[in-house]
Amino acid sequence: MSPEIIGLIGLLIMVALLFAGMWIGAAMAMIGFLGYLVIMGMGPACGMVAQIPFTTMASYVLTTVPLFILMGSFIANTRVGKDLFDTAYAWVGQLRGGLAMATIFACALAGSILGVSGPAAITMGKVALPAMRRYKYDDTLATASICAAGTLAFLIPPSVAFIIYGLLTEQSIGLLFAAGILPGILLAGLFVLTISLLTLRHPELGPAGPKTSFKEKIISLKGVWHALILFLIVFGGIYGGVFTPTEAGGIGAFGALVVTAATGQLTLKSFRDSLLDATKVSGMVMLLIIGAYILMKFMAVSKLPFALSEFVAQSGLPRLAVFACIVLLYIVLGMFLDIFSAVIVTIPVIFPLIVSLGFDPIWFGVTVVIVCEVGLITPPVGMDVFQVSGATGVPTFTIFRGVWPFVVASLVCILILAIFPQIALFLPSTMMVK
Amino acid sequence: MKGGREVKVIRFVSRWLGYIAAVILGIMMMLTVVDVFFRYILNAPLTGAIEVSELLMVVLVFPALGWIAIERSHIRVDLLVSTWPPRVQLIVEIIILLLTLGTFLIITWQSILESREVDMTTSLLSIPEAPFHWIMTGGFAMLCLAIVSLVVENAASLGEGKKEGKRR
Repeated sequence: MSPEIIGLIGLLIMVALLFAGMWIGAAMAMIGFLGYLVIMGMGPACGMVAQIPFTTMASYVLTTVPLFILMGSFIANTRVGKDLFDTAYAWVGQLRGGLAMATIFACALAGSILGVSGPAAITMGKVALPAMRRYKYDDTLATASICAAGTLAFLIPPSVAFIIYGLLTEQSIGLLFAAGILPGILLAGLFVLTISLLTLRHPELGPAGPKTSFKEKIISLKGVWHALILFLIVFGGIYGGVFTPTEAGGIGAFGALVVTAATGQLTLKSFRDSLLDATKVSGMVMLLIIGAYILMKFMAVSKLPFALSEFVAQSGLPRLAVFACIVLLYIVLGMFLDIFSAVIVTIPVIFPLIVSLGFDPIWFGVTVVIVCEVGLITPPVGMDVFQVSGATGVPTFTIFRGVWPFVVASLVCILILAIFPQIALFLPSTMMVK
Repeated sequence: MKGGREVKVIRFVSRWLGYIAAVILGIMMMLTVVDVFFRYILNAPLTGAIEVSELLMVVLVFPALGWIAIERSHIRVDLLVSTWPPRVQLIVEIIILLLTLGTFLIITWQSILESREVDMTTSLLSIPEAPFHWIMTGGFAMLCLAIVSLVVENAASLGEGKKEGKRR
């Protein structure tokens, strides 16, 4: 049997194990070990699993992941999310569909200080939904806009998805962060456009809120200062070449702690819960990463990714057709896996293909994140939909019904990025330190 | 709580290991902040702060693995599984857990062999690496014990008969 076939069989068994409910990290480690054993023999396989866990975990760059997760959990235990919503609400609440738009803006702002999407979506579920119900918004529009908005956190830096993508593909995390900003703004804009089109056709979905005076709008800005300062320090530091992303993670987590204390929301309990939450999420992600590195060793000796690239090159398919297939694959994966798992499981196989087709790795990272986000809000599993449903009590079916226009908006965003890759690549090209 | 005294001990120990990991995360954050402060404000970088962060990462990740397993929080796809009858779910989960256990037993065993060999020290501070390899090995061993306790729990739910498989 050729190594490529062994690689393929290994992947198929792995998919079966995943659907049988095996921990994703464990399934990757098991298949990686067994496949390597079949191709290289017992000795090398044992040597490989003896070394990989330590060498991958004892990594300075990897500490970026828990630090940004910790920053997110500190923020999640504060009122920052509510403050951001109140501010956005004062500015756009009086428009038709304005509360839903405010949710999008607030989540985009929250995304600039959060590395993961769960906290943003849940906070908005608790804050924005009651406000929207008070003004007789339809539940489908209200919850769907919350779900869609929550996904922005992964695109707008800091983003743990980018950190993991950068680690696995050896791309600069700083460049990826910079690349996410403009597409993030574009996607937020498309979501807002979606809401205004929806409410134009069906005004009853989202009636206008009360008017606020210009003075009230200015006063409301006091709610965003913490987020703004944190973002400027963390992203500004990385963009300006002052900090490495790892240092920015440490500073960001500490800054979030300071904000919590300065606004009088720091209690022993919230501090302890934040640390424990962040530790748990970090450990969950790290097991995936250990598994992925073991699987990558197997993939490398199976030469499957290279065979795949060659196959695609010889098939004469146009580049964009291949890209469309990959997008489709990620949308399907995103339905079953969370964004970390989807990225981590596929990168060992897909990334060599992308590079051999001549796609820009940074641009592809941005695209993958948007595509996985689409999966997070589409049936049958849309993780974010379940979280928002759990936090608000609105049935998932209702949310899924309202989510489609936002899925279309995300696909339009991917299309625009495919036609104008500069949108992602412009900011990284202006960075001082590469 | 199902299972005997051993299972309770495993749960207790792994929870405390999780707390220790959380403290390490706090220390890691402070270390990064102090390092940045010394480097940019006082212009006197801390020697070896990066090395220490790397070793802390080992103490953060591996002890937490068993705790996360006990809490049944490791990332998995339960879409398909959750549509099966409870008894089938329990049986499949036991089989899958045994496969997982096998994988991590091999990794633990290889880590033990590796840890006995390691005699490296870090380049700047000359911290011996062996203890950290042992911490990793201990973390893996604890993960194996945690998996065993999950199997015991599932077997106990299965043994309770057809009343109702307890799912979490």
